[in-house]
Amino acid sequence: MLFIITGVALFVLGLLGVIVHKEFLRKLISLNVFTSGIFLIFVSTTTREDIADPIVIALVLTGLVVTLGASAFAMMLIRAYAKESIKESDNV
Amino acid sequence: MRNKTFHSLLYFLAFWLFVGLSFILTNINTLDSSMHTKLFEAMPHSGVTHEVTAVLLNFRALDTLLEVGVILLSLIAIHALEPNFRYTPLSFENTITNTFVAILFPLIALYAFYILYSGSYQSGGAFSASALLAGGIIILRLVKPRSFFVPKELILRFLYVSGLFYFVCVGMISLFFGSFLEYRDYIASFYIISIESVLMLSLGAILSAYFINAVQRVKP
Amino acid sequence: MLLIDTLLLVLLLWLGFKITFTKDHFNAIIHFIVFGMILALAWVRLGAFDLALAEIALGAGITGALLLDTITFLKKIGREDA
Repeated sequence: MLFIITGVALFVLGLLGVIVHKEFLRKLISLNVFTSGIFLIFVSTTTREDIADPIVIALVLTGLVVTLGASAFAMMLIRAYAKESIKESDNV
Repeated sequence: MRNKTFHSLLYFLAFWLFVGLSFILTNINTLDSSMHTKLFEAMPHSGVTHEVTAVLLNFRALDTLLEVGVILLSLIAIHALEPNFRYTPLSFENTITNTFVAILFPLIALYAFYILYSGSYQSGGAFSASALLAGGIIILRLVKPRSFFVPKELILRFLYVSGLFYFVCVGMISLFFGSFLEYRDYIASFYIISIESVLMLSLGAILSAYFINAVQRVKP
Repeated sequence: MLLIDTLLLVLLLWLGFKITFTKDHFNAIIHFIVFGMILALAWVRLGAFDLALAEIALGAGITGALLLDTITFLKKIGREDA
């Protein structure tokens, strides 16, 4: 119950952060908070009698690893973007 | 001024989204447990005794195969972007850090192997072990003691692909006896342990390469 | 047990607020690493030990290292506002 409300709050906070911030790095951090909220909701709605469902745990584990891959790629894209924008401002 | 009204409208909407979603989600009925009972009926045929490992590498092995594919694709994309962001990293080499790493890294590697093999009967498994190993390699790379050597690029690339390759090979072998990635009872345990070992080495290399590619030293 | 749960979740929410509303980028990254560790404790309370292990190693460790490296890079080339 408490876990579900916290998960929803983290979801909303992450969504707000993705919309409000201008910087890409802050958007990425907020996106990570957002996925954490979704995982928290997903695990806590399927937990019964203090034992989490193994199928759900396997799915969320897959999700964690894929999130890491996606955010690593996103960080490299941010670096490449910053470098390119400097080159363009030098040319002008 | 317009920005300010936009923000206050956004906070208002976010608050009502929070209230509505928590109202819906706290009143949700828990799903029926038919999948749960099916899982526990099928557990004796899976070859391991821990449910999460059984789901990851036996019942839903195709998911894990595609996940390893996604991780590899992400590394390939990072390699394609790599010339854009090389810079000279910090270097921390001195006697204290060298000794620290010489003591710490073997312990981390040993702990990773323990987590890998305990994954068949308790919490743990290939993903946690590979993340630990990658953390150890990252610490090693940051300190960069004199004994640290970088393998050739070709060997590293073979290591990156080996996890996915071995997984697909096991799937192809299992095609002779049934459908794709569906093991017989007596050989399932061997397949799961071997896939986990290869996956740990390959995923550890990939996850540490995410970091190491970013801080690679520029060639003079 | 309810006390520990409440403490953990209040801590999580506070860290989420700090991550979203702080001005400094470096501050936000450090709060994100701490957030990952507290979330691992929450997974332990929910009985998902595999997730706790993976969250500490992946969510706090490797993502944190990558984020710190990225902010160092952006500061070095003078485009912290990107």
